[in-house]
Amino acid sequence: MIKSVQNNARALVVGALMLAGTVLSSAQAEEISYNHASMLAGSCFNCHGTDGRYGEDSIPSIAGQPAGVLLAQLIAFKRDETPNTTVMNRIAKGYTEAELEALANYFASIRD
Amino acid sequence: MRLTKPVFRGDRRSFLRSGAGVLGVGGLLLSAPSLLLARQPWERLDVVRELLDGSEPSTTGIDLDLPLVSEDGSSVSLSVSVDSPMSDDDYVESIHVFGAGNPNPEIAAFRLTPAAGKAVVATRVRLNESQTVIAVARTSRGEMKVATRDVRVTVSGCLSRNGDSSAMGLDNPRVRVPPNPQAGNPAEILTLINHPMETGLREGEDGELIPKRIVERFQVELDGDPVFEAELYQAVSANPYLRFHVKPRAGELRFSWTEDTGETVEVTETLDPA
Amino acid sequence: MKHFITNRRETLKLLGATGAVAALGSWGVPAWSNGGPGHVVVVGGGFGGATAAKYLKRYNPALQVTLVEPVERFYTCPFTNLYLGGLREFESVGHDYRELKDRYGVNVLHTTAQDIDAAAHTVTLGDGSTLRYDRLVLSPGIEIRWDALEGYGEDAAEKAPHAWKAGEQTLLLKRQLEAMDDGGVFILSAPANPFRCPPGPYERVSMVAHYLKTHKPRSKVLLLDSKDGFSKQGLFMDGWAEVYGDMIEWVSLSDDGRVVRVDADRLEVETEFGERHQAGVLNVVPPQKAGWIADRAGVTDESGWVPIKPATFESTQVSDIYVVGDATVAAPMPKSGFVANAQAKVAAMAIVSSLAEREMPPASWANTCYSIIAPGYGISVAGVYSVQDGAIAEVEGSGGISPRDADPDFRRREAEHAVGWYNAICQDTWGTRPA
Repeated sequence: MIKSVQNNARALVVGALMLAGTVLSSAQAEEISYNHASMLAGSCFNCHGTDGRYGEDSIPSIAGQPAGVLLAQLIAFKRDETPNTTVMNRIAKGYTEAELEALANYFASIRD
Repeated sequence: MRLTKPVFRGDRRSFLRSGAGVLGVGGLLLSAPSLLLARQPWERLDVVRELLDGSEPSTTGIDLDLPLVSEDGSSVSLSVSVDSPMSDDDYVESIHVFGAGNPNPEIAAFRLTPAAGKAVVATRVRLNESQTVIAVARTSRGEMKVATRDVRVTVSGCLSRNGDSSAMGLDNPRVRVPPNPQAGNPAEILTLINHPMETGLREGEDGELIPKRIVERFQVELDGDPVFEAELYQAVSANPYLRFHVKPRAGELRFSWTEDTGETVEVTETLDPA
Repeated sequence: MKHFITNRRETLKLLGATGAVAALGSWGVPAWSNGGPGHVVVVGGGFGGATAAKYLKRYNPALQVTLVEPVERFYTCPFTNLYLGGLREFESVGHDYRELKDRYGVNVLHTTAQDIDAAAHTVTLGDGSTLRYDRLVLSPGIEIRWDALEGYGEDAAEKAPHAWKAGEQTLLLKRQLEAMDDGGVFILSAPANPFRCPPGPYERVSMVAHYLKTHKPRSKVLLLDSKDGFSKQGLFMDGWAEVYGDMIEWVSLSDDGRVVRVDADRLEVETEFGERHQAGVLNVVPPQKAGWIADRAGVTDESGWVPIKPATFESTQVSDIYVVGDATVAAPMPKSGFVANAQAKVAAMAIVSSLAEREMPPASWANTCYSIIAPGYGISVAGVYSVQDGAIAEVEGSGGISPRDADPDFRRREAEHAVGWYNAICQDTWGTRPA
C-alpha cells in the first residue's frame, strides 16, 4: 500500500515538475537563507528523522533525493493532488511554495 | 433587544436606572474623537459609560478573574468578587460584565441583596477573540467600582473540537447547596442547567442562521425574598453555570431559569443551617 | 568545573567526526558555520531539552553545551498508553543520552538542577556545585499541582496514580489494571485546559478499553471530564462506538463531569454537583503547572506557566533564559513532545544567532499528534505555526484532523505512521532507534 502511494506520487512528478519551473523563479525572489531553511526543515525531522535520513516502512527517508522530485511531491501534497495521502497534505498547506522549494533543496543537499 | 421586567421588589428605581444602560440598544463604540480621549478600556464602551453615568469609578476593592490565556473561547471561567460588608445599608446591588471584543458587549448582569452575604459570583463565558473583559459593580450607596482583565483567546490545534451542547431547551437543572452550612458564614451555591444558549449568530448545517434561544434570567429566592438574580446574554456559555452565595437561614430556596421563549424551570432546595 | 576541561577536549576531538557528516547546503555553506563562542546549559533531558542540546551543537559545534538531567534513561510519555493497552513493552519507551555525548559532544551531567540565579547566570547542581551559563535553556516539563484537587496529594497518587509522568506511576497503573476484577470500573478524571498532551486522556481510555475488552470484557470505562470538548473529539467518539460499543462513557463538564474531591483509600471521586463514583482502578490526571525549577528561575507568571517571546522562546521575564516544551504558554501550539522538539530547534537557532550577534531567521514550527484508538486504528491532528502580528498562530489553511469519513485502510496507515513518527522523533531527539 505504502509503495503504491509513493508510486502515485512519482507519477505526478512529470506534470508537477513543469509547474515547479514557474515556482522556482518566483521563489528565488524570496531569498530563503540557509539558516531559515534549516529551521523549516527541523519540523520535518520529527517524522523523517534528523536531516530526513530516518526511513522505515511507513514513513520514507527523504534525504538526498533530487530537489525536483521532492518539490513536485510537496506541491502535489499542498494542492491535494496526491491520492491516499494521510497527513502530508495538511502539513504542506502550511508552507508557501518558496518555503517548499527551500525544503526540497535542503533535503536534496543532504549527503552521507 | 427588549427590556425585561424588573423583578426586584426592593430597589426598582436603581435597577431601572442601571438596567437602561445595559439593555439599551446604542452603538458599541464611541465616535472617533471620544475614542481619542478615552483613557481607560471601559470609557470606550457606550454601555459602560451609560452605566457609570458620569461618575468616576474606583478600581480598588473589586477583582475580576479570568485566565490570561484561554485555549477554548467557547467556555472561559470568569469570577468577580467585590469587597463589601453586604449589610442592609451597604451592599453590592449589581455587577455587570462586558466583553469589549464580542459582537454584543453585554455578557451578564448580576443583582445581589444583603441576603447573599458575599459579593462573589462566577460563570463561564464565550469570548469571540482576544479582548478586554470589564466588570462594573454598583453598591447600594451609589459607589461604582470597575475592574478589567485582558484575555488572550487561542484555539489550540490539539484542542480543535467538533461538538457542542446537545441540549435542545431547558434541561436537567442541577443545584448544589452545602449540606450543613454554618450560620453567619455565606454558603456557596452552584447551579448548572443544560441549554444550548443559541446566539442567533451561528449557521446551522443548512447554512441558515439558527434562531436565538437563550436562558435570559435566573432568580433565587429564600422563602420568597430575593437573594440573587442574573440576566444572561448570548455570551454566557452553553449550559449556563452560576456560582454565588447565600447567607444561611432556615428556609426554602427557590431557583428558576427563564428562557427568552418565556418557558421557566424551577427547583427548590431546603436550606438547613447548623 | 572539571567537566568542562574533559568536555572541551572531547568536543574538539569529535568535531572532525561530526563535521564529516555535515550537510553542505545548496547555499554552498556548511551547516555549522555559525560562529560565536559561549556556554549554554540545558536543564531537562526530555523532548525539549535533549533536542535543544543536540541542535545547539549542530548549529554551532564550537559552543559548549551542558545538559543537566537526573536520569540516565528517560521514559517518554508518548506511547506509554500503548504499554497500558498491551501493545508495547515499557522498555520500548526508554531512551539514553549516548548520541548526545558521543556524537555531538554534549556534556551530559546526570544530576538535578537545584536552583538558578538569573542575575549571576548560574545553575546550582545537586552536589552544590554551580555552572555558569551565557544562555540557559529550561525544558522542565510539568509539575502536578498537589494543592489543586481536594484529597489528591502525593500519597493519594500511590493509590490512584496519575501516570502523567512516565515511570513508576505508569507501571503502577498497569499493575492495577491487571489486578482489577472483570466487571470493574476504570475511572479517569481529566483536567481543565491547559495540560500536558491534550489528546492523552482520550487515547489512554482507548488503550485501557482495548486491554479490558481483551482480558476483562465485562468492565466499564468512565471518563469524568472538566471540559465540554476535547481534542479530536468526533474522531475519538466515532472510534469508541465502532470498536468498544458502549464500554466507554464520557461525562462532560456540563453533565457534572468535573471531579472536585478524591478519596484515594476508597477509590471514590465526587463531582461538582455531588455525584459519587466508585472505581476499580482510579486514574486521576490532575491540574498541572510548569516544572518547579521554572519557579526558581523566576520565569513563571501567575498562571504557573512560562510566558515566552514567540520568535525566540526566550522568557519574557528573565533575559538569557529560554524555555521550551510543556512548561511554556505557547498556545495555539499544544503541549506535546513533537512541539517541545520543534520549539527547542527554534530556541537553539535563536541562542546561536544571539551569541553570534546575527539576525534570527523567522521561526516556524509544526505539530502532528497521533492517537491510537485500537491496534490498526490511528487518528491525527496536525498544524503548522508561525509568528503573526507578534503572536504564535496557526498558518491559515494548514493542519486539521483526520477526515471523519476515512476508511479502515486510512486508519490503519495512520496507526503505522504513529509508530514511524515515534521512532523518528526519538531518533531526532536522543539518537536512539528501536531495539
